[in-house]
Amino acid sequence: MDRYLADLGLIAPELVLTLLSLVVLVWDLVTKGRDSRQVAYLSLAGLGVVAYLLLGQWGDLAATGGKAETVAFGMVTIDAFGTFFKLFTVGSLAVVILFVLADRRERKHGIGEYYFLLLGAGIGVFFMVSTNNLLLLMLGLELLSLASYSLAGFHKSERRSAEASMKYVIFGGLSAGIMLYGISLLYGLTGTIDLNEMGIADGSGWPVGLAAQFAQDPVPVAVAIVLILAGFAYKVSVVPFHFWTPDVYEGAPTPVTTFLAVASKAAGFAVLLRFVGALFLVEGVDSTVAAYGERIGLLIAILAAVTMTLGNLSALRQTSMKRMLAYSSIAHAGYVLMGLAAMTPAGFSAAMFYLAAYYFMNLGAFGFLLYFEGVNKSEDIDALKGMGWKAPVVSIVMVAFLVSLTGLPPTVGFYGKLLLFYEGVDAGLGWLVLIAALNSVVSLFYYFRIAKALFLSEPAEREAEPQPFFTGFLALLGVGTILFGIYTEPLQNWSETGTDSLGIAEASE
Amino acid sequence: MKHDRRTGTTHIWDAGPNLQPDECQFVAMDREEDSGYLLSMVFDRLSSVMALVITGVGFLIHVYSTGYMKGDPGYAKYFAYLNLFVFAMLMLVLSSNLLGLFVGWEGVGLCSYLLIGFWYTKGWPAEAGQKAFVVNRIGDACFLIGSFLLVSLFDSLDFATMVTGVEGLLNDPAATAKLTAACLLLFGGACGKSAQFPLLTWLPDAMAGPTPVSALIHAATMVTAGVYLIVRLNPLYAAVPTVLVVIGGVGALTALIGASTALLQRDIKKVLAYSTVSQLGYMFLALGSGAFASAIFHLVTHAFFKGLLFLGSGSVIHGMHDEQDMYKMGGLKRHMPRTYLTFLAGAAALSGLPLTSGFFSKDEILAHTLNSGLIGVALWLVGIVAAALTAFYTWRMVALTFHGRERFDPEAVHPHESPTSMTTPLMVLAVLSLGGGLLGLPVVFHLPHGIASWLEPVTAPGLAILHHGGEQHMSHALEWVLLALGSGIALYFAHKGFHAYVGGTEHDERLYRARPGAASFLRDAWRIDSTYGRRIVQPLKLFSFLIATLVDQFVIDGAVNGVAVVARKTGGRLRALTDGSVKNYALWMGAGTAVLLVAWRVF
Repeated sequence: MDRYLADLGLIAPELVLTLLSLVVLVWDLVTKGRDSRQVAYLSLAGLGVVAYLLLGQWGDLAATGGKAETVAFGMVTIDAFGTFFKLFTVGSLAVVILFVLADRRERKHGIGEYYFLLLGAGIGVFFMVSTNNLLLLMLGLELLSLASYSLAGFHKSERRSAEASMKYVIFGGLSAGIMLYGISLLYGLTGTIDLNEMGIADGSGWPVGLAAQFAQDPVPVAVAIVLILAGFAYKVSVVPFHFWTPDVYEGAPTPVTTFLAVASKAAGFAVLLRFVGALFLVEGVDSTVAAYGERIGLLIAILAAVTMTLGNLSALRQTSMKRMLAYSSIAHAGYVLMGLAAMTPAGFSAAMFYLAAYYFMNLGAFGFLLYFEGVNKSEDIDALKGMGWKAPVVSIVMVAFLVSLTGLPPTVGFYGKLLLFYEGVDAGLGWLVLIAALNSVVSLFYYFRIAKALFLSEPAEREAEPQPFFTGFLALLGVGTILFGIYTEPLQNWSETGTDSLGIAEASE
Repeated sequence: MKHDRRTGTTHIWDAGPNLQPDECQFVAMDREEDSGYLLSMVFDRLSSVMALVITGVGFLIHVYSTGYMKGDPGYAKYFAYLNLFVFAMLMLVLSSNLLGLFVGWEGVGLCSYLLIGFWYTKGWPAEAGQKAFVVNRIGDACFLIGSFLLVSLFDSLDFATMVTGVEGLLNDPAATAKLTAACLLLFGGACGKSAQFPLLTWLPDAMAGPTPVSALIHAATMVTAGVYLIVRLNPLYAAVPTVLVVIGGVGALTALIGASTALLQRDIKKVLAYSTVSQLGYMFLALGSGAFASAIFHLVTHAFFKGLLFLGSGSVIHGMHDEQDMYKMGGLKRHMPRTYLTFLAGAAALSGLPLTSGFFSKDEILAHTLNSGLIGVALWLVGIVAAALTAFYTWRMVALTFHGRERFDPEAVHPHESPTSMTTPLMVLAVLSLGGGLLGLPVVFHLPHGIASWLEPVTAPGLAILHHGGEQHMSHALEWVLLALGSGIALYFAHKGFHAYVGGTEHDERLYRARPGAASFLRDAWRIDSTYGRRIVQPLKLFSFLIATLVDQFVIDGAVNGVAVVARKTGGRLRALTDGSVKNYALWMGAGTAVLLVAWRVF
């Protein structure tokens, strides 16, 4: 019992976050939603505490080489990998809350529970990224999903928002069903829900482990794994599991879209990386299993190619910037998958680096979208024409985000892509890298349509209402986008520490 | 303060370990552990001579320019370019490695381009600038490839490293072959910058720039960069004597082409331009015979007298309201006496009249050439012929410009002396042109040779390799004979040239009548330029046009546009796929899962 209590210290960030969400809910109830700003500030302060705890934990973990510690009878795994994503999740939660504060249109809706739901989704992310236990993983995923469904439909009176929420629920349910079916199959076959045990068990006793099952009959295991992967693919919107994405992203309130496109998606990738890594790449993995890992890698590579191509091509013709960003986020999922397809620790690090880059540039791009939704009352790219001269700082910073999204130097997006390409080539996926490079060229077209609308048209007649605080905040993200593109070492170190803590090894030939 | 090689952060002047006691080195941005500095400079005896010429003559030309460019709308821009040039040129001569030198090399090329095309609104100066730049590209490409070869040989581009390292390569045939190629290629670069055959065509056109620019960049400093480069790398060239023969041959040929072409030019600046080509040829002739110090000596005296002549011609052009045609001048000595007198000093030095600076430096080169074997004798003959031509065209120019009948319309043109700001530099340069010979008196005078002994530490390694310790000195008697011969030829042909033209332009007309083919051949600079135009430029333009229209517009643009169209169409289709129907979406998801399962089996 004492040990149990002592272990609770390790999940202090989760506990504080849970407590915070409850306090926020109660506070909003008590104040009857009179001043939701207070709730926002409270949430921000609480997130600050969580971030502080996480940083402390990161320091401890990095000092010990990022090795994992398990809590709660092995259900929760605290390692640098999970903490990496938790830190970025806290960051993006804070950014989203700032977005809500800046979004004047949100005032109309009673928004106290907005923060509660966001924090709840955060709790879900926290647990799903720090477990090797499929059950807890599923729980975290569902917690995130449930909160997201409500958030997507937050503008209840808006048809678009309601439709988005509805679709999201349906597809969430569908994919959760598929995934749970896969998990149950896997549990039945291997006798465990712990990913580590599945991967390493040699089949001599209980649990059986993957190796023995693969040796006996690969088909059931393959079905199970593919079904689970389909569930993840839905979460990170990989083609053909992406159809919900544009509709939901477009219909949801923009701050929620930001959360879904950035934090939720990155969390999906975190579990995908952990799942694939633990089953196929973990140190001491059986050679038959590793061979199947190669197949999975190829499968993922194909998905990556299809995803980035479809995402980019669909984004080309979009007139709504919000929808364009939705497709762009699909395309980026394809890029991240490249790192996974490499099936090497370095490839995983590259994927993590790119996800970190993705946080910066997408938070920024959505912030820009939010600002101009307020100014133009429209999401159309055409409405941006000539506005670059009216809101110069926001627009110039946006150009930095666009450059980063395209993957041009000197931005963090460029370096991330470079790492992914490098690892892709290194893993023998030259064809995929070629497709990704061509896709980047295509993406240049639609990203720079925004820059062109902003600056290469006659200055607009309308004035843009200045929001100095929000502008400064976006500029900060822009500075980060460029700074981490030049000084790449910290992010690289972090992603490498994170990958190290997964305990995956270079595949032996 | 000491320079710390390990931290590499010192930014101070310091006497480094590899340096002569009287040299100092400036190092910024030191790369760690080896001596391959990213940016480092050496101020040694050779660069001190060059730096003095650049800043000294450069200063005088700046002063002159304040008068010459007065009232020009681009006055400030002009000085910005000119100073950028001085910066780049100093970078070129002060850098302690070939890479830094190349940065300066390209920098002066850029400034040359900008200043040739300074009056770009007139059209043809812009074209001349472009031509200079493009022709120099050829040389610079050679330079770069040569540097790459040197890196592969020495693992460094540091001059000190290469100079000490070359001795280790002497007995290695493969390395010597590589070194030969590298030295030839670098000489190719020098040919571009110093307007040697076959890359000499840009320099006459470069006269489109303001005249002080011609004086500073296209006579005194930039065009001598090639000479400097070879002197700087003299041990490398000494190790491959074949290349030296090539250099001597090219130099002699260029000297002859330049001098013979200058005979029949009408434009005063063109005469000086071809004269510069020819004098640079002399410098390379000196390099070819291993007389590195003599080349630098001639470089210095040439900077004095050719700078003077260009500035003098600028003064004439200024006084004649931008008239450059000598056929439309004549009798100007009455109108601009100071320009006339100083011009005489410059002409005396250029034609090598006894005891002027040009006399000593040119005779020294010819003596060294004669003394360098059988090929040397042949080259010496060419040099002597060129010297005779030089004296002739120089005094033709003097006669046509300042003497004889006034061939301009006195109603329209009122020649006047230039302001003091322009004539003062002329006088200073005149003194230097006449007395500059003191820097390097012949051995027979039994006085120290200033330049040669000053440069001794720089040229010694090269000479040691070249002569294996024992240099054969020529007898004093022969040297006296050569001096006498030089004086005689200069005086005789100067006299001839002056008297043929003091009466007017009839001598030219007689020539064109008597030998029309030969005369126009010489006037058109041996038709090199037009041959290039016909054989290289026109076919190249045609080829480029074909590439531009066929390959670029049809193939490449077509492919790009095709991709765009396809992408756009596919995008439209895909957009239609996301039709908002939940049923369809779910179908796709199910189908996707099924496909994944099948794919698993297939792969």
